[in-house]
Amino acid sequence: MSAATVEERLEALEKELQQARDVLAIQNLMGRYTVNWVPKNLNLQADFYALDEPDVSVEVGDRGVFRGAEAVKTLFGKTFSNPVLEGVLLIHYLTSPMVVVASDGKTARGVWRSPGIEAVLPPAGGKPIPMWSFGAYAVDFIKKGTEWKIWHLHWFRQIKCTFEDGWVDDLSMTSASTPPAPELGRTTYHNPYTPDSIQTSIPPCPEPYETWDDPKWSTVERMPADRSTGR
Amino acid sequence: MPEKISSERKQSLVDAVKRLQAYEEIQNNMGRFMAAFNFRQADKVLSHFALNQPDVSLEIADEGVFEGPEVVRQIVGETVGAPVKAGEMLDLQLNTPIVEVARDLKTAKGVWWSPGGGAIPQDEGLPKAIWYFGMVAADFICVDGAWKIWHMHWFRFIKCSYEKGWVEDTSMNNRLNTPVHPLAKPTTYHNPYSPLSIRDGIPAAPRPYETWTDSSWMLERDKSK
Repeated sequence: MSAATVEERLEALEKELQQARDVLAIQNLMGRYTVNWVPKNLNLQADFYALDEPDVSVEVGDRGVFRGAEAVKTLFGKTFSNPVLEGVLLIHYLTSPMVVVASDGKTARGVWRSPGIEAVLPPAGGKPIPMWSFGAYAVDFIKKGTEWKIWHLHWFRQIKCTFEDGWVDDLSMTSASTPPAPELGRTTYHNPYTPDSIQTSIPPCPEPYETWDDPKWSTVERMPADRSTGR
Repeated sequence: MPEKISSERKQSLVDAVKRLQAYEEIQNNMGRFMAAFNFRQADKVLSHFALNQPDVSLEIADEGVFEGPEVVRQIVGETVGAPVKAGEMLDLQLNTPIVEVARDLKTAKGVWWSPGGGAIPQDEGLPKAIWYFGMVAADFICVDGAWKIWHMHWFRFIKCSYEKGWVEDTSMNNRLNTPVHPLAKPTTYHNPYSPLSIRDGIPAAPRPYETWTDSSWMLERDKSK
């Protein structure tokens, strides 16, 4: 067997192994992100993001798109801040992981379905309200040296309702109580459950890709017949 | 003349494969462990523990730390191995996995979040349906080529009535006011949800590491690490 063939096979193997390790590293990154999602630590969430990327962004339900380092820091340091910590519960499980690393190894895409339980304080004061909060994350990741960072994160909120009333009777939180601030980017997709809604397969499972080039992949429904054969 | 492949490069590849295999085995074993736990299969649960390690341990909510092979055998036998009652159910599931295999490939650390439901038979009437949520953190050790649980801590944060939910019903947050198990060592952490609790982000997510030193990582509050 020629040396070139052995070297080519070794390089291919090393690339495959690195991609597999990258998938696990990304899973662990999202796990750490989720573990840190407690009221007293939310101000640290921006550290998980590629803040050196000018288009780093977070889209949360229909709150608009927070784009750029300062907007992301404002989201976690101010918008999501909780002056009262007692009794607030924010648990967002990560399930059904779908992670694809680009062939060039520089970026990745991930989707997780996320059922969640919460307890939030009513604005007027009083006992916390137990809540259901279900949705999905679709995330672009970018590799910085040997470390993965979140580049664009979109939280597709599907259900947000009281524990007591459930998702058919309580539609009071399907949309944000106030319009997004004018400086934010426009919401790209928001299709929460209601008795009138039609469910879609959005965000889709990310498909294998060579190089990141499609910022809209997470809001395009992919039917089985449309899918490429992939690698 | 073909260029020789360096031994370092070969070893790097072998180690990468072993690390991935370890991750896969640990994930699968935790699935088996949880299924056995749900179905009261005490022997299967015990088969996943490193019972050859003198400090093998299991900490259960606020019941304490059970340390040592015979102690772990006893507590698993008494709890998981208790007789099955009609109408009883526990369905704990695993998600949000965070697993780090040590660079030396001898140990690993893992956290899973675990939502669940249950039903507790009553003396009279129908069983009581409950929500039962927690998180599990564990050290693993490779024993004769098989990954085993070395130290496990079950962090229960919700145990409440299905109807009332976790804000209204905090009656089962803490253990009954009865003597602790004679074999139990003091609980290291128990912070169930209540309207007065502050969430900590514990158990902490394990980070990449070279060689295992201790289990303090589970209670690490410094999230910058």
